Amino acid sequence: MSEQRTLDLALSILDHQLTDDEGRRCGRVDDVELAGDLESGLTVEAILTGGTARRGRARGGFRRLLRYLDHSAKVRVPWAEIRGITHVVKLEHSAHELRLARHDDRARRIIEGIPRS
Amino acid sequence: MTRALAVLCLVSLLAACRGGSVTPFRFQHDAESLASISTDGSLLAHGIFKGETTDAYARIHASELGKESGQLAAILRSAHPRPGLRAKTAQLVALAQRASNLLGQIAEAPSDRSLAGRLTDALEHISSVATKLSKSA
Amino acid sequence: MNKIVGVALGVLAAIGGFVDIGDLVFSSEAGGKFGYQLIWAIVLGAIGIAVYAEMCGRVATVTKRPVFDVIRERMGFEFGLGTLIASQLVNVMTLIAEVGGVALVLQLLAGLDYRLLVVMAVLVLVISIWLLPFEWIERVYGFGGLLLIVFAVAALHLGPDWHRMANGLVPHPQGTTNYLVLAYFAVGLFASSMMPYEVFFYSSGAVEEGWTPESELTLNKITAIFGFGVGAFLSISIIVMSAEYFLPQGIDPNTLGTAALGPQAILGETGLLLALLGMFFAVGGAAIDSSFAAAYNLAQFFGWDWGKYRRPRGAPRFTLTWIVVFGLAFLILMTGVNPLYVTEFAVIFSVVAMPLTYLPLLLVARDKGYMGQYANGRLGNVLGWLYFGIILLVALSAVPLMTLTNLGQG
Repeated sequence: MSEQRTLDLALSILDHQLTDDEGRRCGRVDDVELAGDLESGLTVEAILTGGTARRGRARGGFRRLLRYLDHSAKVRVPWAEIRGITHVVKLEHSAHELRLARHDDRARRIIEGIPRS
Repeated sequence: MTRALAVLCLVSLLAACRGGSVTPFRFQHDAESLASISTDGSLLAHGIFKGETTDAYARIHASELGKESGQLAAILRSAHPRPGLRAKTAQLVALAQRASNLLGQIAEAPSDRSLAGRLTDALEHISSVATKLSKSA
Repeated sequence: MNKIVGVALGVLAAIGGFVDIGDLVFSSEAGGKFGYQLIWAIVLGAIGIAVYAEMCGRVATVTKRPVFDVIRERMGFEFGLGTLIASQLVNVMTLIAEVGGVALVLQLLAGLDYRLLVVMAVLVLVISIWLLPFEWIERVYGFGGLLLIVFAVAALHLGPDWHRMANGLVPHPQGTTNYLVLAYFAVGLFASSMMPYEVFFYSSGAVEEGWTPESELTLNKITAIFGFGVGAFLSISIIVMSAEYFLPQGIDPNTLGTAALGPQAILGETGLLLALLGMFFAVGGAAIDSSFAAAYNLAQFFGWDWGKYRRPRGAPRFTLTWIVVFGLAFLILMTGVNPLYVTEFAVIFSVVAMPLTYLPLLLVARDKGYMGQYANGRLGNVLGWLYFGIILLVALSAVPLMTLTNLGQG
């Protein structure tokens, strides 16, 4: 993303829908990876989606439930991959290239076995 | 193991006491239920008599009502009426069983219009007796 | 002209889609037990769903986000997860009730074994979704549901007591002493009008159809007000017919078979068939809506691809989700559970989950940061908060009333 502007990470990015270069939905921003420190300044290095990034957002019983149900792996999407932020976070490349399509592919293989899918 | 046995005993006890106690409130409620089932059945029978229902509908609905009435009879039979309600409860049981039998006949012959015609009045009679019983509780 | 036709079709489909098994069961019984006394509860619920449906349509149009998207973004991950769990439990219970209801209606139509008809019901619904374009599903089930107008015809034929009906618009007990049971049915009627799956489904449709503020906001208002509002007319017809036919004869219309007896007695075999077919389409349409609501919620919370207009392989996890929930409903129904009991639980527990759905929606709809010039006006805010208060009150009382009245049996 090349334009410079101030973003409220919590309001403008966290929990936002991710879409790839073809407009396909491919997850949500579950966490952001920051580098630096409070004195010299923090920068956003990447957005994180799925896996421990998601499970870590919950506490107590919710976390245990997610650990039981959610077996996805965390995917790191470098900040440079972000094309733009509107009501969704648009990515530069396809979900496949960014390793965000594995679960959809697995589900698609099941569905494709059914006629007229 | 002990907990499982305790649960089993509780379940058995509850099953044995399935009927529970027949109080005036409950008797009135059960009599009203029987009146409702019988009137429903009577209207169904009348519809069959006039040739204004389908066989499938008549069979399924009569069967549903018959089952409900039979279950009511079974529960009341195993219940413990308060003193003063014993005779009325026995009467209600007999009525519920009769309603169940009549509705069963309709379910088995849903296109028999003359049978339905005869049973219309019989079911209406059960309903009116059940209504009188409900008011006497 | 096309726009007018489009609006008319949308409104008609919404009218036909308003009534589901919860409305059928609660309206029938309410009329049979209490006559006209609870008409106000349906009107109150219809206004409520119109208010919130308009809000959620507007939020979806302006923010381009459906309800569940908004819930997670606005209220945070854990609140969203809690809402997801509660909503999914209610959606699955609702689906069990609706699919079971379809099987019961098929049984009254065809006379076959119930469990076989559960299989048939699931197959008919799944195949409908798989093969038919979604516009056709809406039209077939929405217009088919309009056959329930036979209850209105039967009610008119019986000659309703208009004075009592007007009285029924004002909440006050009339000659009843069983206040708890009356309150239970009021809660049930209100809740069945405001089931959350309706807004999940409606807002997802608005996003998928690409509604824009410039062209669709008026359509949204008309559909919400007329579609849901006039849809309540069908539920009120069922109450009136029950009040005029079942109540004087002391019949408690607590089964679908008994409910259909009313039109049969007034209009003969034609009335019976129209009532049963109307029930089939209305309840079947609601089953499809609630299965999709379950799939929308999961997909939107986790950010998967979703869409009712997509080919199944185009949104594979969304597709698998609605198939899995149908499978779950099927398995539970095959245990022999009575779908009419499940209906009552689904309606009552949906009330408990309602605040979790409607609060984020209200907060976003009134937020100028999200909505700009399209945020709630004064009337929208007043109605929104008023209804939220009512929803909270109903949510707190629903389960105690269900327990104390033994599911309305006294």
